[in-house]
Amino acid sequence: MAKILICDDEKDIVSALTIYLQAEGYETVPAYNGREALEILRGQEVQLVLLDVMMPELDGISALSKIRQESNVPVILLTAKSEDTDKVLGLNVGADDYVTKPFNPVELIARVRSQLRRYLQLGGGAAQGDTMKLGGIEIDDKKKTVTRDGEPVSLTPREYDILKFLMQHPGEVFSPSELYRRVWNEEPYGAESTVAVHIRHLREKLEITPAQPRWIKAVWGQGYKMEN
Amino acid sequence: MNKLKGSLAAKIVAITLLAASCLVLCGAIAGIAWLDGMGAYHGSKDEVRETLLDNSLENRLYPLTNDLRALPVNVVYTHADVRFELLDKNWQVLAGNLAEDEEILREMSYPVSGFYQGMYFQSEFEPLVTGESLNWTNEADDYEEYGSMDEPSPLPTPTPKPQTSGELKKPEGTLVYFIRLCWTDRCEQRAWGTELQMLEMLHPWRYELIAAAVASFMLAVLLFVFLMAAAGHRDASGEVKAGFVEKIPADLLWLVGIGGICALIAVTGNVFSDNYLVASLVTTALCLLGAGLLALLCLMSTAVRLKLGAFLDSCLTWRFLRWCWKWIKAASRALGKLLRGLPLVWKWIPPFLVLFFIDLVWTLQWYRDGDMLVLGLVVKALFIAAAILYLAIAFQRLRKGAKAIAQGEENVVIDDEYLFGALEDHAKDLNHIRDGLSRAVDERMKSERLRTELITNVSHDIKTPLTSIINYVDLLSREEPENEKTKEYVEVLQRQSARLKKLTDDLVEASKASTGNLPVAAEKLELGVLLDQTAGEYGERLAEKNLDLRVTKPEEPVYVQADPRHLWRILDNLLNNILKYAQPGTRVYLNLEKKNGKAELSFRNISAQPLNIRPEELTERFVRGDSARSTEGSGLGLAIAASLAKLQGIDMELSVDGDLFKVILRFDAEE
Repeated sequence: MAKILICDDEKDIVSALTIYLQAEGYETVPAYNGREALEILRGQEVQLVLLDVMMPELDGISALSKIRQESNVPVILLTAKSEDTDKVLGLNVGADDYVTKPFNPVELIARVRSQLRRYLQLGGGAAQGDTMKLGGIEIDDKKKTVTRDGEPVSLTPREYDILKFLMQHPGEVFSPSELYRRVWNEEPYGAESTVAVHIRHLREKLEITPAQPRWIKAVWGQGYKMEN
Repeated sequence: MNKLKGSLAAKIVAITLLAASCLVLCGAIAGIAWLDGMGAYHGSKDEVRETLLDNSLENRLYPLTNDLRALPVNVVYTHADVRFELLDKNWQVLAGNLAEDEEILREMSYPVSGFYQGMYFQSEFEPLVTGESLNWTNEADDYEEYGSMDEPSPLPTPTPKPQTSGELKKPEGTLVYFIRLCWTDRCEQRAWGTELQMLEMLHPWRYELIAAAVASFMLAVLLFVFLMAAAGHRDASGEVKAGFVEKIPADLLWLVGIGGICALIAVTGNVFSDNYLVASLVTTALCLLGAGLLALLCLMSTAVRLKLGAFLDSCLTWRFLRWCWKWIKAASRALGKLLRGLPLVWKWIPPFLVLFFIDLVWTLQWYRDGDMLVLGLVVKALFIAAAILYLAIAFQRLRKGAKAIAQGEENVVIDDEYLFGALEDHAKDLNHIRDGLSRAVDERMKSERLRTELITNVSHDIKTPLTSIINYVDLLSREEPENEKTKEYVEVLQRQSARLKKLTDDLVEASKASTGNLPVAAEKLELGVLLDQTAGEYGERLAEKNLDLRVTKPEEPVYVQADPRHLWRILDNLLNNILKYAQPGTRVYLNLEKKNGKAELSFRNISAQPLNIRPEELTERFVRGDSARSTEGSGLGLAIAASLAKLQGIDMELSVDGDLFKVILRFDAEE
């Protein structure tokens, strides 16, 4: 089973995370500052790192940049700051994901699982044939199946159509009526809010935290897009 | 060059050369003028010679007639160096010293009037061309009396001369004679020889003379420029120093200088005498030299002063004017101070007294003249109107500024230009009030920023223990409960820790939004799309609470400028509010319309609880620190929405009408 390094200066948080992760069947190694984390990473084979940002001795961002010099092990940042700039900084330095404190244990475990699956099983393999891949989301157009980080997600045909259309145009913003026209292939005539409802459902099924979507994003007052 | 300028010897040489070149220039100009008078630049040398002879003959006429009047004719014969004959009107020789055998070289005839053998000759006529008829214009009998003069002249060698005679007027009661003047071979050469010699000498050099004049003029200018440049240089250092002469005030120096020059020139005019030619020439030259030197001294001294930039200061007149100006200023300042010192209420007295005095003098002066009295009245009325207008404008300016300050406008500056006295003081005081106000506002902004920082930092610190609490409560809830109560308590803990989490997040956001500490990235949005998206997000949740969402919007798209995320946060908060507080089973209206160039987005719902709170209190909760009334959430939703709206320049209006709760967002609509 995968080994996870949990690094936080707050011992209580480390032990709580240990309990959760061990309950899921993962092996865990504790560390209480960035320096310890680095030492452990040099000595042991670790498949995932949970890294707190604000720590004594060596803070999370500096530790992360040192880790990235040596390995590409998945790193999830734990941060108390919810400002966008901090998130952007973390992702730029090389974090694979981030969770803001106080976090929901269920959400955290979902993210851990997602990162591990990607790292261990998929191995970044290229999409082939009729499959389409964007981030951790993969759709197989032949079997009409969708997986998020290898985990199957069941969608209604309409939701599937919308997702497929958005994945075909990553980064592009579509207004609800435009989406309706392109996916339903008819004029909306006041049915635009139907699109919004479908998008919400899609988000709830596909995203780990639907309130803070990573892939299917709303651009308020303009439309929706697939983050690439 | 500086060495040359500083050298005294060079200056003395330059002055000497300047004097010499001026002398040469004068001489050359005199010579040129003389030669030109003879026509040396137009005709041949012989013609010039003839002109010279003619001129010398004419010069003899006056002394001769003078002699003829004063002396017996026989004395005159011997005395005169020129040959002459006195003829009557019939060209009969009355007297003369011309011998028969003399060869005439040049002759001229002049009509003269007077009394023979005696008394008086008048030589006022133009020379007469020999053989020319003289046409008297007087009465015919006069003409008869003196006979005809049509006969041809018996005189030999008529000289071709330009036509000179015209209408001549005969003096009344006098006899007319002719005087014939000639140079003959037996005349003494000295009578006209000097001039002839001069002509012989100068004529070949006539063009060189012009060149000499030009050259000496240029040399003089050059030397003059050098002297002006060298003025004040006393050594090779190139430094300009004031000397003894510069101690004399400039205007005084010029006064003395011009006086001296005038005096010397006057002397020149007076001393000249033909009798002492050499002496008077020397005196004249000396006087002119003196005048020139004096002028040079004044000019050089002026040059020194100009170089030192001290010309005006070295003028007595200027110093006197400055002194006067200083005193006038001091006096007016003292008077102004006196007037300013008057209490505001008494300030009307000086203008009143001045007006009254002017009125009095005017009336006394012109009490008879109605026009002037009326003119005075009109001028006075205009003056008073101008004064009142000035006061009104000044007061208006103060009023406007005070109003702006009172309304809390930033960067109000009351212009105190052209204001004086109490008005100026007032403007300055108002500006000070404004400064104090803006300082206070700045300090408040600063303290709000600090508060935001404090709240942010504290909430970060709260989040870490909160994480543990949430996690362990969650772990607790997974354990098998020992009894039912434990399970209940854990649920409370879960609910309240979730609320605490929400509260910390909202606190940071509310504090940031209310102090404007958030970046705003406005984009062009379509409110219709936003409404669809909102309906999609909230429709089902509202339906779950048995609320019927009714959305109405215009057919055409409505574009506005707003930050999409902030705007969504506003809508999110408002709809969450509706979810929480709306009476189940009622309708919720979401309405978009365009009104007078504004896009209006309104939310209406029926409140489940009676709203016994004023709308302002709902949005100012955070600012005022009122206790939250709600049991769920932070109660900061509306406050955050209001702050975010204000931040983006969106007008958010809350109103409560009984149980109807209404929020209107007003945007500036875009095309």
